[in-house]
Amino acid sequence: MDMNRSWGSKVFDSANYFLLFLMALITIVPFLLNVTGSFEAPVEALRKSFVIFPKTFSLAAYRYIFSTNTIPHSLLVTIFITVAGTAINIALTSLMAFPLANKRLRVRKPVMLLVIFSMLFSGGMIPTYLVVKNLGLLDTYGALLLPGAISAFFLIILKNFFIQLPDELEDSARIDGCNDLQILFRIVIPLSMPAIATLTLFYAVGHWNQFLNALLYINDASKFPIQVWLRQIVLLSQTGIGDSANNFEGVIPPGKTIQMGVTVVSTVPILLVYPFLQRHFAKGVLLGSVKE
Amino acid sequence: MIRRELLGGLFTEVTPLQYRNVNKYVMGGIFLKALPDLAQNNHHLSIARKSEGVWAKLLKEVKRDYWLYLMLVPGVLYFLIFRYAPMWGLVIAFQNYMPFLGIAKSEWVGFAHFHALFTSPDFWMLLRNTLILAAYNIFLFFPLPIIIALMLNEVRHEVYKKVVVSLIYVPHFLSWVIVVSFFYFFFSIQNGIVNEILQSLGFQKVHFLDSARWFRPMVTLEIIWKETGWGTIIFMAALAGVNPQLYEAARMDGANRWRQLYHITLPSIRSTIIILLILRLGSFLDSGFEQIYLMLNTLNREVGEVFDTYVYTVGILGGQFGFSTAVDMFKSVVGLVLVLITNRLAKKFGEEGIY
Amino acid sequence: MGKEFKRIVPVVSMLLIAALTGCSGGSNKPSATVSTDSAAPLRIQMMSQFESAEPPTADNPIVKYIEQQTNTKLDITWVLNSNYTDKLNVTMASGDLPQVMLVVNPQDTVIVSAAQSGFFWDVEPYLKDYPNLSKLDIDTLNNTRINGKIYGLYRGRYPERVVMYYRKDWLDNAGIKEPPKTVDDYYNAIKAFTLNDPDKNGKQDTWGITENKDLGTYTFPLLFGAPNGWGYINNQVIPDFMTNEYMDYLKFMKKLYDEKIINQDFATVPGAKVSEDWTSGKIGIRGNIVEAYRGETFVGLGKTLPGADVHIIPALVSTTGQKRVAKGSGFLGMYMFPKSSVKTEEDLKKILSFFDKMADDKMVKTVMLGIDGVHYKEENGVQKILDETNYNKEVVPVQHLAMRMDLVNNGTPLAKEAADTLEEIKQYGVADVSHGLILSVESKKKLSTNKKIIDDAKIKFIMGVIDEAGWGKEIENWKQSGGADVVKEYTELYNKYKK
Repeated sequence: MDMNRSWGSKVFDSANYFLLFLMALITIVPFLLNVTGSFEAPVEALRKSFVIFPKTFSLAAYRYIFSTNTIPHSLLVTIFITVAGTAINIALTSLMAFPLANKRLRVRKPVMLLVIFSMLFSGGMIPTYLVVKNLGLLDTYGALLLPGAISAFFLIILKNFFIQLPDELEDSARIDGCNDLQILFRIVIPLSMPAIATLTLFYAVGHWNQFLNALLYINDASKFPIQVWLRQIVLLSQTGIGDSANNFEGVIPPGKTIQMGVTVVSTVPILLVYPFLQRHFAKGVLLGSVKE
Repeated sequence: MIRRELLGGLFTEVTPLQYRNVNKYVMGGIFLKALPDLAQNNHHLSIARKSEGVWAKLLKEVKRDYWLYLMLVPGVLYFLIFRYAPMWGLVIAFQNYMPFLGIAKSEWVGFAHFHALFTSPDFWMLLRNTLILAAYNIFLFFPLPIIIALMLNEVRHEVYKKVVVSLIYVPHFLSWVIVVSFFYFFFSIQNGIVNEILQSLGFQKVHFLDSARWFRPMVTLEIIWKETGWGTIIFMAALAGVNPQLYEAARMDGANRWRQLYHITLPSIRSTIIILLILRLGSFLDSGFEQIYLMLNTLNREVGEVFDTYVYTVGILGGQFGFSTAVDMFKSVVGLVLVLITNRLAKKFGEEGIY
Repeated sequence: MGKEFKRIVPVVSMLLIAALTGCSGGSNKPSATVSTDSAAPLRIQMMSQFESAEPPTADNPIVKYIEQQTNTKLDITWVLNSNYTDKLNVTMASGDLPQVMLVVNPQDTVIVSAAQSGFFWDVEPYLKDYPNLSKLDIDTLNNTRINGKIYGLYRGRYPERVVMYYRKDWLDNAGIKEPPKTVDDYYNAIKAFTLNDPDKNGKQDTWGITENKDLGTYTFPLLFGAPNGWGYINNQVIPDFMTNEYMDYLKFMKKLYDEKIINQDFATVPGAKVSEDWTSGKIGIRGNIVEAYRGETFVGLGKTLPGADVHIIPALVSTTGQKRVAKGSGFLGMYMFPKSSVKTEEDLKKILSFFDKMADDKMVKTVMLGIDGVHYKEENGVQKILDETNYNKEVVPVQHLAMRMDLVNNGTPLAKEAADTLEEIKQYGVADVSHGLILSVESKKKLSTNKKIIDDAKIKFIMGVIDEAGWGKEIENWKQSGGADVVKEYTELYNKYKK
């Protein structure tokens, strides 16, 4: 096939490859500097504004991070919230999206309006807190998993993905005696893997980065996700003399390398998720052949 | 004291608008390929006899599609409990709300907060800044994920594609504090790498971070840096769903790559783009509080102050929950109107709307 | 069918799990009543904060020690300092209040209006009955007043505490013989630290001071004779920036900026940068509180920067001839007692007697340093931390419980300087007359909206964007958009409560 490509096409390809390379470079370099910086000896890191290669390779930052009671434990909490929360998200979102994609459903429109309206208006911090409290969710993982169980945005996406699936398969399944729930799990979801994989990633990242709910609804520090500590460490290092009247004197802000180290520890695990979901994007190709 | 409040509360105030903002940039795009003609085959069923009452018809439908209704229940319950139950809180936009008094006992002030907002000399400045920033966002940032996704779509080398995709989504995982600190690191007037390079090349240093002129480009650039890659992923998923046989057929007909792009690729993600635009317009007046707040300083405030930051400094820090809710409500109403208009327009041009 | 079933099971069980986790821990705490049995430990529910990277553990030895000494059972909700205000607001809205609330900023509108509507106990009538609480500083107590009443127990801080730290080694390297005494000396030191290569690395890469967007380093308007924040001048309470002396301060800053002996990007620099610049050896002068001498960045600077020799200047002679040091309010936050959870006077008295014990010298020391012999050791008045790691894990997280912060003597030469300094600067304190005066909500709103006008104008003046006439216009603008009303209200309040 390559033989047939025109000269213009080749120029386009090279330019395309080059631009994408540039793009990838620009996005990754600052993060890489952060990673290399975290392996520098703390004393050395203070002196320099940035580190390309650590002069004295040191694991001090990571040794500190993993010696605290909080950070390794909170990493586990975050992993749990992310896995359980995403599972709930995907289950509830697809359960609701499926009937909404069905045009013969009369309540489709009012329910969609309900959903869209909730995207634009929300009650605010205090009323939401009271609802969570009255449900008895305060200080439980439920407070981290349930209030964001369905994203209106993602629901609309999935609904629209379902709409464009061919109806013939559903019809034939119905003839085979499947009910709608079975159709959803047996036919629709397997066909929608690119969509489900993407939503999984989006939801998972949302859970991974969440801290607002934890700060408000959780008192028990052993239930804090890692983002809470990341912010705490970043914020702690942000006090100067301007705040000295409020500065708590005993607290020594964590060093620069620890800050960078926590950034790495709190980012890398979720970065590793993507490659596993990526193959599902490729599977989208199969969808095309079915659609025929 | 006040300053500590700023720092302390900065990342923790949960205003409704922030809850939405969280979603806004998470979504670089959405994918869907609404082909309206495909799913319409059951439409005739709903054109039933008109003589029947609405409720009777509904009951009949529930009986027929009880599985579908059953599946709707958890979701609808979720929305009612976690989204609608707290909405009585919107009442405080009309109150001088004090947390310890609660809504029932707080003083009723009617439209005073709205009046204060609309008559404030700052209002037009805020509206202008917010709109211009949103326009930058839509015209400069919005198309980028689409372009990058199309570029990636042209890459045949699978490993290369995978590597690039995996790299460009990294910044999305960094919080704004970290992103902004990266930008300071590169662009500040003192020791900023970019300025050092400019100087060594014999140029004047540029006040990227502390001038009104550069504020909007820098803010937009940060969003581009942080979210473009992430936005790409979703279009990639949509593109993955395109039937490869369509391309083959086109190639057989002798269509070159530009024609394939124009006739196959673009139409297949057109509705995705439109839906995304509609939803983006719903949050048109949201500006991404945390980022703007971190980027604001004296020298760019005149162009940088937006509703979100204003609400925070004036409303939340001062304990004026009612006022901040009122501003929020104003933004929501504008969003609602925009969504309704664009959705109608989209349908008029033959696209599937969002409802 | 079996196949579908397998697929559905995980989903259903997941939902079940979600439902269960949702309901299980529905924290059925015993209601907030104070135990009446005198022998049994008194149960106290508190909401306090922590600022460390780790929260206090459930079996924290300091808390255990306190409980044992005071015969109490403490049920403390530790809240991260960074979202304390949010948590306070939602807690107040939920009506589920602890008996003791740490309020970091009692001037917050929400707290003030709660206090005004009788939400908290007025503790003033009871203080005299307790040995330690009766000795609380009256000036500081007055500063905590809300509409003339004392609604809580303050956590004390030295009122005069901001001093100047400098690098003696840099002074020597820059060829300056004496530490700065006056504002002129100060200027010369800043200049020499910028131009004379005090770190001897052959590059001009140092500053005397670096400023930030809050203009919060050592250079204060006080040094030029302006009031500390708000002053009573010509029968009016006015902000410092309305005085002529303030203009001298601005001109001084402008001179530093124009001569490029201060960082040119200060308008965008966050406050925290000072610490970073100091520890990385970029600056030779910084201000900080005197108690901070103990921190890594002062005593320990030699570790990161070999040869660094840090000393303290208690106060500079201002351009008007006297030494002037900012006098703070004397407290950082206070403990307040909601009437809805502390139901009777008797309950209040019991809780107050707990805090009376907490205000005891020995107890204050324990909360700050830990248990004698375990966390620290005291010999000849010198308190040595025994194990830093242990101290950071067990003591630092609970330090917010301390009823005041005393200066610690760690035996270093700098410690002696710090102690002498603390003693010396007491006499130079310039009070902010607005302390203890609470503005109406309206005025507070105006003040916070208007703050930007002046903050921006300052920086613009220093950077030469506006001139003196432009500054005058901004002041006028500030007055017009509500500032004048604030001046009027402060003056009235001053005449009512302070004259």
